[in-house]
Parts: sequence; structure tokens; C-alpha cells
Amino acid sequence: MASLIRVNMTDATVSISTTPIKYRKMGGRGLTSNLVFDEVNPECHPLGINNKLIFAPGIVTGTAAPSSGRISVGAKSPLTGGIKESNSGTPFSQSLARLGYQAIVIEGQAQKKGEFHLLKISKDGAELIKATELQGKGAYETISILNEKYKEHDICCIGPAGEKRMSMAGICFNDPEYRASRYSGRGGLGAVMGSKGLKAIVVEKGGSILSPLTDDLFKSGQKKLVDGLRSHDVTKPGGALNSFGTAVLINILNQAGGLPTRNFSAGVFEGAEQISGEHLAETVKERGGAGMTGHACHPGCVVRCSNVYPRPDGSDHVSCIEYESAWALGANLGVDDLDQVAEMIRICNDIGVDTIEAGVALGVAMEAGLAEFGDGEAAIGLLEEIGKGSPLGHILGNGAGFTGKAFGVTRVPVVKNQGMPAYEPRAVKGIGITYITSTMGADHTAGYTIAPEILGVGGKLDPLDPEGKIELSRIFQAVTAFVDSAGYCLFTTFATTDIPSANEGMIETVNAVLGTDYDSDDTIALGLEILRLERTFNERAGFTNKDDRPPEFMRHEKLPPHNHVYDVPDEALDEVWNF
Amino acid sequence: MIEVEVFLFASLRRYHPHGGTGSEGLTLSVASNTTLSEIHEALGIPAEEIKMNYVNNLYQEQDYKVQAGDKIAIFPPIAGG
Repeated sequence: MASLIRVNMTDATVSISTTPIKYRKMGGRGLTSNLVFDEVNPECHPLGINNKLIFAPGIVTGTAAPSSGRISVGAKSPLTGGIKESNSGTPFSQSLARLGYQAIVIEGQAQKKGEFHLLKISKDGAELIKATELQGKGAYETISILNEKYKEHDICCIGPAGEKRMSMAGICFNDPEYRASRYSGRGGLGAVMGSKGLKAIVVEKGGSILSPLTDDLFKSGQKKLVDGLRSHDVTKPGGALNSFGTAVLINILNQAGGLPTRNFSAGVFEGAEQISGEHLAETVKERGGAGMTGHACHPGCVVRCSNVYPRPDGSDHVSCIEYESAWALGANLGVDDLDQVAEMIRICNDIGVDTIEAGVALGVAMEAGLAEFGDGEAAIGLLEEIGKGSPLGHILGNGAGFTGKAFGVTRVPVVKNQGMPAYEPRAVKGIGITYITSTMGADHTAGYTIAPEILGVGGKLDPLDPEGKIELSRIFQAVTAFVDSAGYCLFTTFATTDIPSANEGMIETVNAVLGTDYDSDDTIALGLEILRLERTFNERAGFTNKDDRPPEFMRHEKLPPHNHVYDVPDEALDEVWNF
Repeated sequence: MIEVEVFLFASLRRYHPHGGTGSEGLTLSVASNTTLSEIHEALGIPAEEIKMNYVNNLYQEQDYKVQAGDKIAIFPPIAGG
């Protein structure tokens, strides 16, 4: 029977108990959000003793379900002040699930600030170990030391930004080759981990692949989903994601006039080609060596959209150049040199910050005149300030909103104080609705309406027309809450949206694990229930519908080339929550 | 005849007549009222490999009739996030 690990950082004790009945059919985001809702005072200080940090693998994570090696991390966010769930693809999730642990709950706070522990988890239990030797170390060195010391373990850690409790600090997980590259990046969860006094977690590998309750149903569902992923044009082997990575989106968003450029002042970037997935794949081919596309973030992924970007000499520079990172540290800063972008991602991975929030904060800093747009070396220097923890680094490290206030900038692209990702709301109206109304702050993954608005997945809608987008965003947010709970990668939804049998297969695998008989409508209802719970937490934390609004400048600054403002009315935005 | 500029993306770059990385734009001289489908055919790109066309930053269907100076971007099925 699945169990919960509770770690009390105040008295450095660990206890393991059987999961209460209420939580047994939950996983991933559904579980982290329920535990945060039930156990965290919404008015607490996110970096104080009363916040809790929850890790939970998805419902099917640890089974043989494809592309399901996801872990959700939840807490009250120091960036937004609301509930947060941020998930990542990593073998860590599978190892944790295979030992029978449904969640880790980190509570309390180390009594001495600056004192850090390591949590070691094995099939026999869990223990806290002093981690003085890891203090101040970057994520690369931390993972390398722990991999050397604890062979056959998966690893999670924070970097210096998390130790210094900066609001853009993320939580890093290893990839299959032990790179410090997989992040639950958004919302400052690394700062929460740092505030607890927890530097790292190691989880013993070697648990058996989990057997579902209903084996035949699972195998049937697994086959349908695998067939769907292998046949859909964007997820199949040799398909767009596999061949070019997620940065294949750079050129199409640029062509649609929706690639935020130079701190959201334009929708087209003249240097887009140089930071695109096509250019990345070509560079990998030319340089050879350690470079590769089609890399998997965890064993059992069918899509394999990750990559390893090589230096000119073929050595491993960084994994992974995602669309979001290439945009945030490229187009958003006016930087068109992929080697400089790779170096910025490497620094973010090492110091332990979210590449999106880092890029948006640097864009605001450039707007403020701290560096010229297009100056990649200066941008690298600003990121290094965050790692050093200088006063300027602390300002930047607390995110785009904080940086905007510090320097008197009014063009600050945030919602609920979280930096906007790589889709311009004024050029793609539906994704703006998701950014604005999500419980998470500006988050593209919360309801990825880009699929029908730009990519022609699940139909084709005009991105510039707001018509019908309220309902679209709501349903996408609900489906996503379910998928994030099931433990499937969001990219499986490209196949499940277009191929009905793949969607059936996904639901069958969940039913086979839980012993439930959910149908498609039930999954949406479950998703809406999670959204409602998260919304209630945020209301109790002080949020109102006035927080579901775009940044003011987007209401009056026209974005070239389409010269639209953000024209979804406030009353329409409020309708997202009318269910 | 009118001139248009065509850009190919992702897997469609292998149809670039000048080879290389396929990232360079192609200037084509075509008759007035030529459709996007006819341009695809002229470039030898099978219809089933094409998912989307953006012309001057706007999405257009295959029967769109090109105009002088159009910048045409042709994409296969792609996604990301």
C-alpha cells in the first residue's frame, strides 16, 4: 500500500505512514494541491515555518505507461503568493513511485538559517543527513557529488538561488545521464525548499515497475496510447518534437507575429531563425560529439523531445534548449546567438533558477537600461550576479515583477507576479486568457490553447479573434489539471486531442491503476474540481477577480505586426470561473 | 507575373531546391492568382506533408491566391511547449 513520507525540518525527524483513504486515488498535481489546500494556511508566509513543500509522482508514474515519468511539486508560491504546482519529467519520479511512496511532505523549518540537510530515501525508509559539504554548490556539482556518493540513486536539489530564497529559484532533478537539467522551475519552489533547510533528496533506484490493479485493461490502454503517440505527426519517432525539439516553435510563433521580442515590445524577432529548433538540429548535426536531438528526459518516453546542445568542439554544453528557454533568453532579450543562449541556460540550471522567469526579469532589466537588448555577454553577466547573490542579483533573482518595481519599469509582463512565457497574448488571445485566469499566474502549460490557435491540433482557430476562447481556455485548464495529476507529459495531449483511441487509452491506464471507471467527462470534472480547490486557496490567500487581469500596458500598447491590444474584456475573463 | 518569397520550415526544408540548410528564402515568379497549393506543387512538396501556411504573418488556407510581395511561410505538422 502506498505511503507518505513526512519530513519535519524543525526537529529533523522523518516519519512514514500509510496514505489516508482520502488521498489514495490522487497523484501529481491533484495530490499536491489537495495536500496544500488541507494543510497549509493560505495566509502563511511562503518562506516561513507554516508553508509545506510536497513532491508527488503522477497516478500512473512508475508503471509501464508511456511518457509518464512526471513529478509534481507543490506549495504556496513565494513568487505569486498563491498555490503552486510545477511538474518535471525525470527518472526521480519513477524511482520514488516504485518504492511505493505516493508523496513527500516537507514541513517545518531548520532552526538555524543556512544549515542544510539531505533527505535519503530507500525501500527501507528515509533519513535526514547533514549536508554541510553541499552548501553553496551549484546544481551540476551537487548532482555530481551525490551521484558519486550514492550510486544507483536519483537526485533532486536546489542551487545557490534556492539557498538564498530567491523567488525565481526552481527545483532541479537529474535526467537519465545525471545531468542537472530537469526542472520544476516555476513559482519559486526552490526558495521554499531552501527556506526549509533542505538542499537535496536522493531516492534509491531499483524498485520494480508497478503492476496496475487490472492488468488487461492497462495493457489495452497502454497500447492505444503508444499507438497514438507513435502515429501522430508531432509526437511520432522522426516527428517534429523528436527531430527538432520544442524550439521548433520559434519560427512558427515568429511567423504568426506572436513571438514576444525585446521585453514584449514586438511580436516578430528578426533573429528567430538563429535560435530555432531547425538551427539547433543543424548545429547538433554539424558539431557532432555529445550533441543530440531525440533525447528522453526519463526512461519510457515515446516522444523524446529533449536535446543535448554541443559546444563547437562537440563537448556537452547544456541540456536542454527548450522553446521557452530559447525564447526567454533569446528573442525576449534580442539575443540571436544560440551559443550564448546555451550558456545562459547552463548558468540557470547551475544556480537553480527558472529560465522563463530569468529571461523575463532580464528583459525588464534591459528595458530599465541595465544592459542593451541584444548584448548576450551582458545578459550572461546579469545571470552571474544572481548566482553570486549580489544586491543586484537578489533584485533580479526575485523575478520580473520585483525587478520592474526596483527600476521603475511599467512594461512588466507578469500576471499574479509571474513572468509570461513565450506566446504574446495580444497576438494569441486564448493563451492570454489562460495566463490571466490560471491559479498559477502566467503559465502556458496551464491550458495550452496554442494547440488549436497556432498549431492546428484539435481544429484551427484564428489566434487574433477572442471569440469562443473563454470556454476553450476553461476546458483546456481542466484537462491539463487531470493530465498533470495522472502523471502524463502534457505533450501526450497532442495525440489524445486528435486521436480518440489514444484518449481512451490514457483514461484506461488511469482506471487500471486506480480501479475506477472514469470516462472522458469524468476526467474533465476531476480537472475542474482541482481548479476550484486551487482557486479557493488563492481566494483565502487574498486573491480576487481583480488579480485575473492582463498587465496594464497590454491594454493600450499595440503590438506590431498586427497592432492589436489585449481586447478580451474583464467581464469575459471573469466568465472562465463561472462553472 | 508577380514575385513572392517562400520560406520552408522543419522537415520541409529538404524540398529547398538550393539545398544547404534550407533556411534561405526563395524568390519565385508566379502568375497572378496562383494559389498556395500550386506553389506547394511547384516546389514538389506532397500535400500530406503540409499543415500550415502563414502569409505576411497571417494564417491562410491552401486556396489563398498569392499577391505581389507576399512572404509565404510553409510548415509541416509541428508542436512544442
